[in-house]
Amino acid sequence: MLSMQSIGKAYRTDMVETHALRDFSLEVEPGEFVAVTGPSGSGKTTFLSIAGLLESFDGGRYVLDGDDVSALNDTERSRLRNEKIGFIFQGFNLISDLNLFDNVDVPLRYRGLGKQDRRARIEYALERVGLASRQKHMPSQLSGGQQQRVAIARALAGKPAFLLADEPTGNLDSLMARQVMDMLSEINEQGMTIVMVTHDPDLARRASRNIQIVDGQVTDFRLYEPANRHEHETALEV
Amino acid sequence: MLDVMPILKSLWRSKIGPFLIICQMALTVAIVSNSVFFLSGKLETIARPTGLADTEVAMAKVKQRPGATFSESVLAEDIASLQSVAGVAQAAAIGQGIPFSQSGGTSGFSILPDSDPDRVNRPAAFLQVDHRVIDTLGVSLRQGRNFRAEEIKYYAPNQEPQSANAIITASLASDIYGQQDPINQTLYLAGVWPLTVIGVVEDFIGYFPHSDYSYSNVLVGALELSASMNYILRSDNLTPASVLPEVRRALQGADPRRIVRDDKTMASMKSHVYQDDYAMVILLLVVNAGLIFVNVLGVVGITTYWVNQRRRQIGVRRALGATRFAIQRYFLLENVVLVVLASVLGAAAAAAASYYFVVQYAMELLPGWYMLAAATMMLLVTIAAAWVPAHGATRVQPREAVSA
Amino acid sequence: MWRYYIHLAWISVKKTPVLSMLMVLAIGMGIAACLTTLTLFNVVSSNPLAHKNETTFAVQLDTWASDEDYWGANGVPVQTTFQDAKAIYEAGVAEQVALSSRVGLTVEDSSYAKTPEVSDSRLVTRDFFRLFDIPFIYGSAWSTEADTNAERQTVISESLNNRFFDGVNSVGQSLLLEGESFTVAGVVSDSWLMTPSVYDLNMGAFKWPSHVYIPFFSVEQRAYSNWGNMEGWKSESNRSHQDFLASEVVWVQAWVELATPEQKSEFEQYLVNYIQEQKQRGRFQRPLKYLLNTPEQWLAINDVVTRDNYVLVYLSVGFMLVCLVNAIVLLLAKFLRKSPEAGLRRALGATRMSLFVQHLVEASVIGVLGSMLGLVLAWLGLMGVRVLYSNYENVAVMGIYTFVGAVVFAVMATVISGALPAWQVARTQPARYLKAQ
Ligand SMILES: Nc1ncnc2c1ncn2[C@@H]1O[C@H](COP(=O)(O)OP(=O)(O)OP(=O)(O)O)[C@@H](O)[C@H]1O
Ligand SMILES: [Mg+2]
Repeated sequence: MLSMQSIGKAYRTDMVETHALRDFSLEVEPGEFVAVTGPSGSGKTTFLSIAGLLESFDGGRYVLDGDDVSALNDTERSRLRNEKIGFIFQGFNLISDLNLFDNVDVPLRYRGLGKQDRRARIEYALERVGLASRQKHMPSQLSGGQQQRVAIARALAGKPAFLLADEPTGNLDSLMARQVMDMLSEINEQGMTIVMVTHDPDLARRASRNIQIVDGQVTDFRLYEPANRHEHETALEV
Repeated sequence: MLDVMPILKSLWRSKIGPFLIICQMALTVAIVSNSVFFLSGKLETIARPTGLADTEVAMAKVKQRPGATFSESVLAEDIASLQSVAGVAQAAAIGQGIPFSQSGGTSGFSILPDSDPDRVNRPAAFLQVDHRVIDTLGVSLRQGRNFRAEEIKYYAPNQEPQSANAIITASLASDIYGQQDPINQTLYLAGVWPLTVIGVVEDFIGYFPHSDYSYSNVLVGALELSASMNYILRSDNLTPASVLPEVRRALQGADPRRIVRDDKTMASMKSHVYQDDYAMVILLLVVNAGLIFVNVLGVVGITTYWVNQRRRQIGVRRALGATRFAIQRYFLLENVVLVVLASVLGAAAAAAASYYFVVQYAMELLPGWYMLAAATMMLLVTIAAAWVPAHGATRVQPREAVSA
Repeated sequence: MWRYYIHLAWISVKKTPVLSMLMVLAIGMGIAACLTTLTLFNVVSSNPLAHKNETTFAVQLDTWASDEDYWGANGVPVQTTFQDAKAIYEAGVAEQVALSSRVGLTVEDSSYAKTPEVSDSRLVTRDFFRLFDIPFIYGSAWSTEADTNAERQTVISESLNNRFFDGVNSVGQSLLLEGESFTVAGVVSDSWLMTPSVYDLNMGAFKWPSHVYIPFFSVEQRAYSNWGNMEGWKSESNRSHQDFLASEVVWVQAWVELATPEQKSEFEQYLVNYIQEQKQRGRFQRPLKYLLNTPEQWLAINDVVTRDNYVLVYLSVGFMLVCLVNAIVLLLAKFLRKSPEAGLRRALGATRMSLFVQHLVEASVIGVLGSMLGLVLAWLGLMGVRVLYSNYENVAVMGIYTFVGAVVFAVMATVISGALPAWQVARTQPARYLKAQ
């Protein structure tokens, strides 16, 4: 499904060169729910951007669902992104000028689907996230959790090969976060491959597999837990 | 202390936008300075003194019935009936060269006859007049005397008199005679017709105001008695336009085959003559107003955008203690920096354009202070336009720094 | 996809109504200014004889003084003397010879029932009507015999026919011109309005056509009051009308039609011979010089397009540029503000091209609205121009081609100016706005 071998990524700004990823290798199998954790600045978002074809990388090999990505030009990558990948971001990232229907419509438009097909998909996707009745509402009329559900609907509507989520619950309170997480689990159970970056170990635990990135490398496949949080939890266990 | 350096830096970083707005302002400075200069030349032409009582004068043309020509007695009758019209103070006959009429004759004048190889011709317009024309036109005598009634030569077509008296305008007199006294000198029209100068009048505008020699006029005391004659009149307490219908009736007289036409005031002739200049002035003004307006739009638009784009930044600055005044000053200053850069570029463009006009259309070179004036205007307009959105920036609350 | 882009553009325009209006206004004003002045310029600079530009020639002969150039135009008199005009006509070398001169004639009906008037008239040879494509509504030009014998025949304008004959076919009726009876041979349509009036560029290139035409050689029998220019250089005392006709005074406008290059060279040969022969008689004291000007050259020589016309065009093009740059700046500001959205769309699979097109469409929507406003403003502007310049009132109108051209031009101009901002926004990196917040 997703296979990265020895990927490197360096950001060059003026004099400084930041190595966000180094010799990064990862395999994700179909149907997996992978949670990515790691300290701030370790390269999680960078990994996700590369996995989502949002950014280029310096070395190594990345095969996405059978396609070697490094050989593709910008247009082909856009098409691949459109067809294979669904994104969910921390900031919800809905287009504020468009209503829910039109927001979910965006990736479908670039796919070039027919009107009937699009309508059916949009309605189905919004139905799945429980917002079918609010198609004509504008994003500003929704709560944060609802907005994130629209973003999920948008990701699902395109029937992608897998979902990439960067801290999808980062801006939500714990109740909302749980709802969103429930939804992702349910989607995963129906067969969708999901890669999710999160800082929340509770959420990470609900994934089928955990990986940890430190200093731009996959260090181990354990859950990364912030030190204080760890202490707090051990204290509870006592 | 004024934060010019950071402004320059941030302008440099966002390159394309500021570059374009500088281009826009520079073009504006170049266009405004050149067109205002062009326009002021036109206005000068229109507003220069006419040397005539042009607001009180009117004219009419008369053509005798086919086969008939004018005679001294017909002329005298016409003048008498014109003078009997209420509101007409003076009336006169003029053969050709009515000021502002755009029809008349221009000829070479010299102090030597045609036969003399040293002859230098000085072009001037000539008017064929009777002894009443100078008073009727309101031209003032500077030197010498007016024509006497008995001096006017009346002649049949093609039978020009051997000699005649003439009165010339001051600028022509000084051109031809310099310090010399022109009175009683001989002046040759086209080298063949000797005229005796009996007087000098103050400059007045001749039949073709756009000529380079519009102030060079020769009034010749001779009238051709053909089928057509022109009359001019000067009104006293009534406006010239209001006496015209009565004048028409008076000139028509009893003969229905006589034709009175082209009765009009000198004011209307003048506005007709300057019509293209007026039109040009108005078009230039409209386009310049449009230009300034478009710049206002641009400045308002771009400043609003900058303010919005940096709301957060402004919030941070305010949170860190910047005063409202400092914020507003920053945005105004940003525009001032743009205008200054634009003015330098605009002045260069203006000079280049002006040089092109000088070479291509023989116009005058644009004086530097026109560019300075245009740049100053641009500055004031920009500050005024940026004021509102910049003031809006001061209303950004410090808390906007933290709210997403 | 186009409808999607237009939908998005419309949403975006509605989202920032004030900014959008400012852009529409700026573009509209620029286009209006350009359209107005270009329409004017188009009229002023057009060549109404373009279709026969290669075969029609204004004749210039250098009969001027030996010691000085002719003062105007290209240094050669723009009119000819009567004797030279007559010689060209009588030689019959050129197939068509249109001699003409403007005069004022008293017009009366034979029963003196109508108010007489002095009409703008022309002395012309019959070829004048054909050479300048003057359409007849009744009758035709007079015959060649009438031309050479200066018969008492006349061609009048439709409006004069309306006034003196109540609009009926007046061919064969008589009319008094300067008290003499002329027979109407034809009536020409008032629709004939040559702008600029190539056939006579003296005293303005925008004039109404004359109302009365009479055979040119009528002038040999008597003098008519000349309403054109008469210019002379020689100190001659013309004591009679015959003296005047034989003088060096130039007052006749001479045109010839030479259908083929052979005819042209034959005519040129004739002119060379003629001038040489005249030189022997002491005339043509300057170096042998004649010019056969095409209508296009003739318009240029006579400075029909004035300095003011050029200044106006430069001015409005400059204004248009400022308006377009202004529109670019505002579009740029607007589009860059939407960069996060563009980045998101990229992430969701939009190619650079589709973002580019999307924003170009948005720019074009503004452009089309601006153009529409521009056309309305230009229409008002031309109305203003007609008020300002009475001599353009018959001509400063927008033709259908100008109209279509203007729309195409306006939309293209805005699309081109939209390209830069659209390209800027299309280059947005997909990852740029998605990281963290
Ligand atoms: N556009 C960029 N230019 C320069 N450096 C960058 C850029 N994007 C990321 N980096 C650097 O790359 C490193 C990895 O960043 P990344 O955003 O992947 O971290 P992260 O693991 O997502 O952190 P967080 O948990 O705080 O979101 C950081 O050191 C960051 O400063
Ligand atoms: Mg991150």
